[in-house]
Amino acid sequence: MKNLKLILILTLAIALRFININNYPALNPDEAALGYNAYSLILTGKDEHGISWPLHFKSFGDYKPGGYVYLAIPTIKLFGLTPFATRLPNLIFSIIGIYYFYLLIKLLSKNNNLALISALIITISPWHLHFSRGAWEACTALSFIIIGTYYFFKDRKFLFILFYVLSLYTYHSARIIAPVLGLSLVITNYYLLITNYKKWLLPLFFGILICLPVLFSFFQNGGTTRFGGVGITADRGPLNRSEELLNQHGNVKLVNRVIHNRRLLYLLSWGQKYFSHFNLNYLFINGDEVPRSKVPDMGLLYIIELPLLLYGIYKAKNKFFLIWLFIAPLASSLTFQAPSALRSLPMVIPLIYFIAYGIKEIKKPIIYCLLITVYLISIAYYLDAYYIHYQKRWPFAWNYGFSKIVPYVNSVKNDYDNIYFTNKYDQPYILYLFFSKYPPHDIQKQIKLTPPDKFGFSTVEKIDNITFYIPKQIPDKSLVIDDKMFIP
Amino acid sequence: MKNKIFLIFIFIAAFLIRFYNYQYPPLLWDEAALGYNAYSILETGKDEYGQTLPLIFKSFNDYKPGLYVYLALPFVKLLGLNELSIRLPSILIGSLIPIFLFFLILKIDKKNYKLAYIAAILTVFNPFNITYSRLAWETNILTFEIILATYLYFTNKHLWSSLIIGLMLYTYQGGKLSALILIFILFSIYKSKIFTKQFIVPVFLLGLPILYGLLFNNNSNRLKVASLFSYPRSLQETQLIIKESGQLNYNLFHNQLIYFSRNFFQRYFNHFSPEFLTFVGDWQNARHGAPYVGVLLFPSIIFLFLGLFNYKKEQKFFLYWLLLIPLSSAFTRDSVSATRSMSLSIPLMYFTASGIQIFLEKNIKNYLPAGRQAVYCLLFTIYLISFIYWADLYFNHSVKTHPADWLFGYKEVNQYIIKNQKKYPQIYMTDFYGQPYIYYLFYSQYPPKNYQKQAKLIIKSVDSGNIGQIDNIKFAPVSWPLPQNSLSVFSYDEIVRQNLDFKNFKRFGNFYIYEKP
Repeated sequence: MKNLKLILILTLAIALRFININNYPALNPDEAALGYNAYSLILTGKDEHGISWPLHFKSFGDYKPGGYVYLAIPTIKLFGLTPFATRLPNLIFSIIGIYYFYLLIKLLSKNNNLALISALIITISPWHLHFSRGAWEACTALSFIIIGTYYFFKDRKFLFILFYVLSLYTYHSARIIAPVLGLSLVITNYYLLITNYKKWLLPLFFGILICLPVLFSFFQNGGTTRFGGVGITADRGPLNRSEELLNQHGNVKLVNRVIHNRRLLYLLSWGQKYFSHFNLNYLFINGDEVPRSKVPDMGLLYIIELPLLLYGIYKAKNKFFLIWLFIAPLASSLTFQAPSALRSLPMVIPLIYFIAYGIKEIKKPIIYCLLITVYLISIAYYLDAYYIHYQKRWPFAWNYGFSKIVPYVNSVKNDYDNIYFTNKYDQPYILYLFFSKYPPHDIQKQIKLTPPDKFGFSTVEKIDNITFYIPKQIPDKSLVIDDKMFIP
Repeated sequence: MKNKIFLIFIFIAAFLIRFYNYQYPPLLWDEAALGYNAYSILETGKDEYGQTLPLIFKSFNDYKPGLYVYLALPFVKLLGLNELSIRLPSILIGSLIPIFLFFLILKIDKKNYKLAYIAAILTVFNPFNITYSRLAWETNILTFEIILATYLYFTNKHLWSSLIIGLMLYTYQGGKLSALILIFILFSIYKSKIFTKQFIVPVFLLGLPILYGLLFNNNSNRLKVASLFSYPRSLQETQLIIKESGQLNYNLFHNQLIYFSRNFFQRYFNHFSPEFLTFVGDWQNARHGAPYVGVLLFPSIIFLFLGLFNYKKEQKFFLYWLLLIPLSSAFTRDSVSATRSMSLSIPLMYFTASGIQIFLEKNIKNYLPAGRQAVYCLLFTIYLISFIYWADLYFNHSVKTHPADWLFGYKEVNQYIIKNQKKYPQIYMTDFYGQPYIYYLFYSQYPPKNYQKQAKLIIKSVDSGNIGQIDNIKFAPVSWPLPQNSLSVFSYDEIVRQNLDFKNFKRFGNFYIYEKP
């Protein structure tokens, strides 16, 4: 009977995550890049740029951590190069993550009900649901962290370290969150360390060993370019403000220079970004600003969860999850685009825990009934926003239509000398490669990245006779694909 | 005895910070209006429109509650009509706020002296309180009245408490409602015997004229303009949603009720956002604080978290205060408003102080037994740096960053006009920055008797209007070509729009003077 409830929850999780996953939402360039690189590895042993079994995939010049590509190899081998196969690893791991979340809460609180409620809430949570549906490395990395944390409390040191390190290989942000969280786990439970430090030596050695490749990559190009592009220092705002404020002083004294120092302003900018993750509007009303990371007219959590959350935090007083809550936005706050629902995804775990705790504390059956009703309405609202409005409001967010246009382009490819493809939606080349299942051998020979833009992203402008931008003058015998019309 | 010395110090410190450089920032419209009306009452016993001793002043057709004008009377009488006399009531009352907060905390928290000390000191140095105490803001008075009324209530002086609550109705438009709701809810938490004759009768009697005004005068229109519900979703957006999904879906998930409640929550949460509290401040209106900082000092946000996290049942009073006050500004069209929610500063200070206390007492004892002094010093230094940072932004940068918002130049330009008024038969003054006439009246100390005759307000919208002419000065948009022998005052925008050459103009802050012989 106990298991039945859990199975029901997991079934619901699977249903919500798998429905129409091949087509909705449409594949975005990052997913396509992951999928295509896995495909390329299967066929040639090299990535799209001709590098053998890399740790970081150069991709658009953003050097994606390779973990997800390797996870996608078996699924793509099995199901072929389709959106479904690309997304399957994350789907599986998000479900496993939910299961381990249940185990973790059960282990920590020794309360099966609380664990079940937590699992149920995270199953229907818009935030987790959104990033489960799609090849989001962030969600996979989060699942690794949950699993690792569970094994830490189970005192299985090797597994704890293994999964934490795995998350490092999967997603950029995890490289900040996982070590800090792991360290705080060890510190707050230091008695575990002291009483049997001998048993920790081997796992620690093992951890350092498997960390080495990542550490080395930091010194090469791969690990750090990403931060240069999207890091907090890429934002010129504080720099300009420092100049503006200094100019307002007639004669600049040393004191003014100290006060309007750009380092101080960057520190404040970091503070603002960090705390913006706790803005209730961000969490409950508006969500992220990036259309790809949100649904219209909806926050990251249901508004009904706010009182539950506050009540839960007040009642639970759980130090471990509080620490987690404050560590989670660290990585996100170091980038210039904050708050970011994607990079601060680990926040969802402590938030859901406290919400679940709040629900558990409710004693009156009437409130329970009311709560369930409101939840059902909220879920309906979310599903409506996700399935009906999302695609129509921001079609550009998920590159709709590529799966249809690419076969057409391929069929007429030889009839034209030149084909021009709009670059209005970022990185069209990778979607073309993905949906045409372009032979990786051929692309490795001719791929050429453009110089990086100010965020450090590059793209590819030419494949065979297809050019991925629209020039001002169009030669004869060419096909132009714009976002709205075809001009043959 | 120790307390007395402490409180005297607190008062002096608070007063100095609020009094320092009192002419800065430049006078705002409302301040000038309050001042001139006080002056008018002193001279003639009537307001600028010739009303005898009104409770509510028409002013710019925004119907200002009159308490502040009457508070300013003695100061205007003693010091004459200038910036100091009109700001002094707010400065003094603002300096009393920390002291009465001290008493209030002691009344509620059963002799928790430490907390009261910390809260009082914090309030002295808190940007939110300082910015509103330095200028003649009515909302500052309201905040003080809330503290005073609750304090009197807890000392069982119900009659006095009710009188203060009655006065609140005549203090500030925007905060009236929420203050009342708050007080009644709070009292019902503590004692059910609130509806004593001693308490309810005076409140009712004092409230009668307001009630009358709300029901039978059209000045309640202002409510309609400011209200959130007067601004439904645009038709275009509605059609977009219907196009996406159909009418039924729209009715179910996107109806006006959901739209309004989303907007409401958005505004409500804005008042608790880290941006408003520490990093940006009131982003809707630059006049409500210093640029690039919030209403609290930076370290406060951490202690506020800590204080709220360690909430205890005895703190219920301040929690309700914290949660209910932003309601009244959440129901208005502005996405955030420091002015309407100014009394929020008190519970914010309270919980920050409580956070600091917990930090000092518990955490240091448990985790940092050795470096106690070091932690005190560190905390003090961080707060000091943060305060200096704020003070620099406020005193050196706010007007320079937003000169237009701070109405920079009205004083200088009016002094120039007054000096040269007789030389020119016609003077044109731009009304680009709003209500130029009141500055002219204020700085020229125009005899109210003469003005009352020619005061004709041209009503522009429900809550604003303007005066077209006083003597030979016309207040209107200025445009080229100008008549012979005239003095004209342009705004920057008007010069740019009409493609004029800046070389020919004399500059006074935001204003540019052109003299045609």
